[in-house]
Amino acid sequence: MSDCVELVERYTEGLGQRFACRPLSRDNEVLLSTPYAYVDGDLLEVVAVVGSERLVLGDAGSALNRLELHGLNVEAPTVRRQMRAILHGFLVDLRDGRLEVEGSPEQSTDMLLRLVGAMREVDALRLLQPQPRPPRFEERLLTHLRARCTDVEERPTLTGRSGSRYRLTAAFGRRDPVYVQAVAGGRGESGVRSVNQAFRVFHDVDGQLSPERKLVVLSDDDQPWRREDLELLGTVAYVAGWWAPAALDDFLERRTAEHRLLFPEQTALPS
Amino acid sequence: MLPPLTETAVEDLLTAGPVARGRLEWAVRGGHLRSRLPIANDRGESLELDFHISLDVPWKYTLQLMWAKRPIKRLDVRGSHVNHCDGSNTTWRFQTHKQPFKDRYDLGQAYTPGDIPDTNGTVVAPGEYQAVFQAFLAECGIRDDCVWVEPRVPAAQLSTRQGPR
Repeated sequence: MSDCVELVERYTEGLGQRFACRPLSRDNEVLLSTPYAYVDGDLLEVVAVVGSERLVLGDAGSALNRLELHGLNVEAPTVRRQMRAILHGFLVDLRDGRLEVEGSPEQSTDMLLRLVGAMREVDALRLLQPQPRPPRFEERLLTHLRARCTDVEERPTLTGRSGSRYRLTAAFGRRDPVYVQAVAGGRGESGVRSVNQAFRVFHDVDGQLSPERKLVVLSDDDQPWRREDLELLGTVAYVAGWWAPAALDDFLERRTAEHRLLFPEQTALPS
Repeated sequence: MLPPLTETAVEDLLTAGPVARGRLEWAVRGGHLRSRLPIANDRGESLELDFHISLDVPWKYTLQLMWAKRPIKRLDVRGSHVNHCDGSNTTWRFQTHKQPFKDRYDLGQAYTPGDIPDTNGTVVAPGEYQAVFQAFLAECGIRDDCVWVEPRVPAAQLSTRQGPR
């Protein structure tokens, strides 16, 4: 029994030494750094509003903020549902994105334990984050283009000779921009559709735009491209490959190239 | 498939010409003032910089670099942390620390950065948010080509809400 008493005494003494405090802007507010840690080692911090008869402890919004810093959408129904269950279990309120407990100063130990429990449980909801997906090829291409130039217009529209309006991937450059169309899907069905659309667009705007202002960029797809599609696209535009970024960047800078295909043809075809 | 998150992959990505472009946009969400800035890069990877300032305690703020929604570098200004993961139990209390992604510890192992402007005390010096933002970009190897917009930190919300009765 004495071992138990000694153990608890040592624990509570050590615990007390691991609290730190900073005053906040109002006289009755303090920020506590507690000995309790999240899984990544960040220590839980609690704002205390201390009155003579009432005490409010809150997390200043840190628990929800940490979820967002881990890429979780805290508005997602599953997250909200789980959060409600946690808050209910610990008798903790959610006010303006902050976890809070309220009671008399005599209840401070119980209040702090409830708040700390809820903060850690809410933080564990990060495990609900779905596996992030890689960006679509069009997004990748836009990110690449923005790294090369400040003047990148996203999804500009062009009107063809037929009167049809088309939305492209990007317009690159300020004066006489190069119109860029992302084409993904390789020899699969979506690839053929994507090639057909790019051909249609650039064929329809022929005459309005010189060839060096029309650029198709092919994705480095699992399914290599069809030779016929490369030929077709090359009749209306320059064609770059995501797998050959130096040639793509070189074309965007110089606006000219010896061949319409900006990569060795065999690198796009099945081996 | 996303590339696996490793120290080598992070290092490699940060050599792919990352550049911060555009303008910081601030919005209040929950207890924080937040800004998210996309970071352009040659690989076309989804890279974003989050800047979160606590409304209740505006001298506490966090900058974090995310790769495909996965945190890879975090700077916690005047935050509290303990390195439980490496057994050292080194502790920061209201002190600025950095947490880079590590294969072994994820973001668990912090250190005191030497390349961040002074953040001692609990007062945000004029120009501090911008100076820290720029220092964080530089440390990540991100070229700064963006328009800085000073965050408008309102009076602490907790103090204006109903306090103890």
